[in-house]
Amino acid sequence: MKFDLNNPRILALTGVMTALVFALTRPIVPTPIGYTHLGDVAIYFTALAFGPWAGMIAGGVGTALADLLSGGYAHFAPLSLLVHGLQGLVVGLIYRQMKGSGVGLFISLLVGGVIVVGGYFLGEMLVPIWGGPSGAVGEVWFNVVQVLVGSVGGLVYLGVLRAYPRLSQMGE
Amino acid sequence: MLYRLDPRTRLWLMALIVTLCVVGKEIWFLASLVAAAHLILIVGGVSFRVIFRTWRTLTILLLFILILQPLLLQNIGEVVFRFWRIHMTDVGLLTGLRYALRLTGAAFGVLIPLSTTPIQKLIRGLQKLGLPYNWAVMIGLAVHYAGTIGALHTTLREAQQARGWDLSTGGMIKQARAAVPTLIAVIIASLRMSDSLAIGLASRGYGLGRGRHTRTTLHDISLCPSDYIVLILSTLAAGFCLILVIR
Repeated sequence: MKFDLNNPRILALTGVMTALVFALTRPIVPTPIGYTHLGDVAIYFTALAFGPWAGMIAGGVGTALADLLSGGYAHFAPLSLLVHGLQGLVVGLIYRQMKGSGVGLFISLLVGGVIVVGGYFLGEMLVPIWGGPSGAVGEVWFNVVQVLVGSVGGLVYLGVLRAYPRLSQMGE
Repeated sequence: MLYRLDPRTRLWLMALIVTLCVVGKEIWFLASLVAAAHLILIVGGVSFRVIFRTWRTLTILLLFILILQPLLLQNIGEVVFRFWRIHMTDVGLLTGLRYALRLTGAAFGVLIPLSTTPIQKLIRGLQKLGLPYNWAVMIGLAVHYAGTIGALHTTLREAQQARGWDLSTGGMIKQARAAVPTLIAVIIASLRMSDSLAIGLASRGYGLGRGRHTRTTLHDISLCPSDYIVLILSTLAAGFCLILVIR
């Protein structure tokens, strides 16, 4: 199915997956700059199951909404939109290019993690309202933990695929 | 007063303050921006509780920047404070203060539209500024269903906890792995929800017009004279500040 938000099925799926990212991006452990959460799990799942476009929208918009409504981290929303949007897009692209193989799953999760850690580091380093160099350096470790936690998204994807075979027909 | 303004005006005020926070360098200028954002929020009728809550969230973050930034710049400027092998220089301390003020200014600038506007109204405002209709619907759906999915997640976690599931032991990774069964259940429930939602949307004719028809809204937003006054005055003030900063 071609990705088109005018299709009610795609719109509903993208909207609900964005809501899932948003709901799971709730602070579990507040870090000095931001917080660690399970949102990455939902981003990885969406990108692996429904491809790059759904992954990009759910990842970017879901985390940006969570930032906007977090009370304090709202101005991080554009950075989250970019970084997690790119994460969803690239993970979906790589997994699709590698024809859904196990190696593809591993590589896409790895690259997704690098994008999150590197993206936040660069963003905070370069744009002064996001904390500057001290913020960027202090945040790295927490982002690494978050990405490691998020990588169980791969396991979740395989689990859902086994428990809910219809998933393979629902994609783009 | 802020509540009566159009969402677009509030977004514009936010954009001006955040832009000035990015371009401003002087400590006094950034501090006055933080003060200006507070003044707008207080005069606009935002409760002190919201402002305090934001400060509370920001405190750890700001302390972190104020302490770590001077440690990153130990070799530049004159040493003001020395302890063991740690040097704190005037340049380091001032840079830390500058980043902290920028972050605070931006955080409170963003609070102007966010604390005074329901998210649906903000989406309507963004739609008037050019956000496509289907994107607006999608974001609206996400905001609406996040509560439902969040509640579902809590129910599933509690159900598993009642069966002896323990998330409080082990490291973060172990905890995350232990969360997999509940996450699978939440995702499958969400996928089923999206099926019925798609039927609901299709039965209301969503996607038939493909954007060719003009859509109407029941409660539309519009710019009134007070919006124009605020827009003009704020833009002039920001323009003046910008000239001041560049010179």
